[in-house]
Amino acid sequence: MAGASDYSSLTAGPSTGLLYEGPKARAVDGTKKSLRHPVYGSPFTLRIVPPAPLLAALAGRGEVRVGGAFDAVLRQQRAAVEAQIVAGTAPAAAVEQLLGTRANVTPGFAIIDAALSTTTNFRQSQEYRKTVSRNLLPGSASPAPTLIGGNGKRLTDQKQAPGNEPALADLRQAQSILRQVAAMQAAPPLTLLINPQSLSLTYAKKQVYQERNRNGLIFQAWGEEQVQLAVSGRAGAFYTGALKPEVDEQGKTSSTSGVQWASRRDSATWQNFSSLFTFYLSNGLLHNPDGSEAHLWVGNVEIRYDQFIYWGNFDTFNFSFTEEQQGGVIDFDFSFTVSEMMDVAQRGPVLPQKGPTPSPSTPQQLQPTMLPSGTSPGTVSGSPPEVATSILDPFL
Amino acid sequence: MPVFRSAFQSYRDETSGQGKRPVIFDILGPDKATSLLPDGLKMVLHVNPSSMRITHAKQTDRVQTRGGFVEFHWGNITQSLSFEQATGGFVRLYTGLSNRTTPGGRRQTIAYQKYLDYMALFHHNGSIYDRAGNIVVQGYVKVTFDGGVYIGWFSGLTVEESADKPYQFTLSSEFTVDYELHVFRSQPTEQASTSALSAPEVATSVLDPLLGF
Repeated sequence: MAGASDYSSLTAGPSTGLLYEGPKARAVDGTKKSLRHPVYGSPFTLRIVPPAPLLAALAGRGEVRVGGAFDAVLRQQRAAVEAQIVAGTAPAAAVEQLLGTRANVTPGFAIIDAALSTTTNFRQSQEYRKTVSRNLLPGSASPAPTLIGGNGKRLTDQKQAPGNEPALADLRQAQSILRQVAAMQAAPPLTLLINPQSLSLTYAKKQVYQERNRNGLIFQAWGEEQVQLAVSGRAGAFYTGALKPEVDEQGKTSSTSGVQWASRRDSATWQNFSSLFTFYLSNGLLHNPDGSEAHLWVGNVEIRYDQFIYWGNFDTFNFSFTEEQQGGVIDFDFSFTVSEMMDVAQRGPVLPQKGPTPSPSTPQQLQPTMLPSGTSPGTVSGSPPEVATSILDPFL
Repeated sequence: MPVFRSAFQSYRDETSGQGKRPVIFDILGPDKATSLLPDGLKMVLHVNPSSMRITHAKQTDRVQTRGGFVEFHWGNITQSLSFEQATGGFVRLYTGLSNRTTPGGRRQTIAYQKYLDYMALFHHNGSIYDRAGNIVVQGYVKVTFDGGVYIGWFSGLTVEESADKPYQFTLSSEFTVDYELHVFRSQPTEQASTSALSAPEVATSVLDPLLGF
C-alpha cells in the first residue's frame, strides 16, 4: 500500500499546508487485502485525472516526464546568461531574450511554448508595429522582424497579426502547469482500506411543470442535474508496531505500538485517510503558484467502484475525533459532484459469480493466491484451465 | 505536591513520550507566525474536548448550458472546527466535588479556573484593543492537536450547565479556520501476518488524553 508521502507532490491550495515526516512506529495493515482485490474484490479506488486538453497533449506527445518537468537545456542557458549579467558582460539582446531563450528541443505544449516566446515577442511585436507604420509611407517598405506566434510557430507572413493565438504570458505559470501535471500522473491510485459505510447517488431532473396557459400546465424539460455522490465511511483502528521497543524506567518510549491514540499518525489507517484528505485538497485542480485561488486549470478526481467510473470534484469533506473512539475509527463523509459517469461493466449473460475465497464446490475457481509461486492460472497440471475474466477496465 | 492535577501539565506533554496529545492554544500576530504569548507559555485545557469536528467545503458554481454544465471553481470557502467539551469536575480539596456558587465554592477549583482561561481566550480572539475599545490590530488564534495546526478565530461559544451533568459545564465552541497545516507521517505499510511482530509488544503508557486520566 502506498504511503501518505506518495501524494506529497499534489498541491493543496493556498489555505492548506501539508508537511511529511518520517515514521516513529511501524504501520501495519490488518485488513483483508483480498476484499479489495481489483478482480475478485470490491475496491473503492480514487485517482487524480489531469485536465482533458492536457491529457490529449500527453497522449500525443509525451513530453511531460514523471521525473521532472523542467527543460534542462533551458536551465543551462538561463544560468549562463544570468552569470553574464552578474559579470556585466551579457549582450543587451541576451538580456531581453533571457526568459524566451530556448535551445533546439522538441516543443512542448503549444501555449507553454508561447509563454517561453512571449517575452521575445513583446519586443519584436513592437518592432513589427513600427515596421508596419513605416511601410504605410510610400516607398519605405522594409522587412518585418520574424515573430513567434502563440502556437509556437514562426510567422513569416507579414499579414499574419501577431498575438492572435491564445498564449500564457507567465513562464512561472507554464512551469507550474507542467510540474503539477507530472505530479498528477505520478500519484498512484488510492484504494481505501475499508470501503465506505454508505454511498448514495442522487439523480435529479431539471424540469418545470408549474407555468400555466389556458390549456393547462406546460411541461419544460431541461435535462438532468449533475449526479451527486454522498459518501460516509470510517477509517479503521490506529494500530502500529514499535520501531524501538525499549521503554525507560519512567515508562517513556520514542515509538508507539498497539491500538491507541498515540499510534494514530503512524498507523496504516491514518495514512490511508490522510491520502484521501489530500485528494480532497487537490480536487484535481492545478493551483496557481502565486498563492491565489485563480486556478490554472481544472482536472478531475476519478472514483471507481462497482465497475462504474465517476469523474468529478469534491464539494465537502468532514471528519471528526471523538473520545469514544480513542483507539481509532475516524468517521468521515464527503460529497462529490459527478461531471462524467462511465459504465465499464462486462456485457453478456448473467454467469455464476466467482467468489473471493476458494470453495470445493467450484473446482474452476483457482485463485492466484492458492497457486504455488511461479505458476499462473492454467499451468497447474491436473487442473482445469482458468477461465480468464476479461478485464475491460483499461485502468487495470 | 499538588493533590489535583490537570490532564496536562503543559504543551510539552505531547513530546514527553507518555502518549499524551493535548489540544494547545496560542495567540499569533498578524503575520500568522509570531506568538504574542510569553516564551514557553501556551494554553492547554484541564481536559481535552470530547469531540472535534473539522469541516471543509469548496465553492463551485455550476451553470447549465446547452452543451452541458459550466463549472466555476472558486476554491475553498470557510473551514471550521467544532468542539464539544466539558470543563471537568469542580473538585475542592477536603470536600470533593463542589457545586456551591458562593465564595469558597466551585469557582476556586482548577477546572473552573481553566474554564475562565478558555473564556478569556475566546474573548481575546487575537484582537488588540485601544483605550476606546476599538480593535486596532487583529491577530489569530492557533489550535494545535496531534500534527494538525488550525489558525483562525473563535466564532461562537455556548456554555451549558445542566442537572443531568452536575459539577461541570458543557461547552460547545465554533472556530473559523483561515489556514490549516497538517504534518503527516509516511512509510510503506506492512501487511499483517501471523509471523509479524515477533518481538513482544511493549505497550506505551496509555494515558487517554481525551478522557483526562
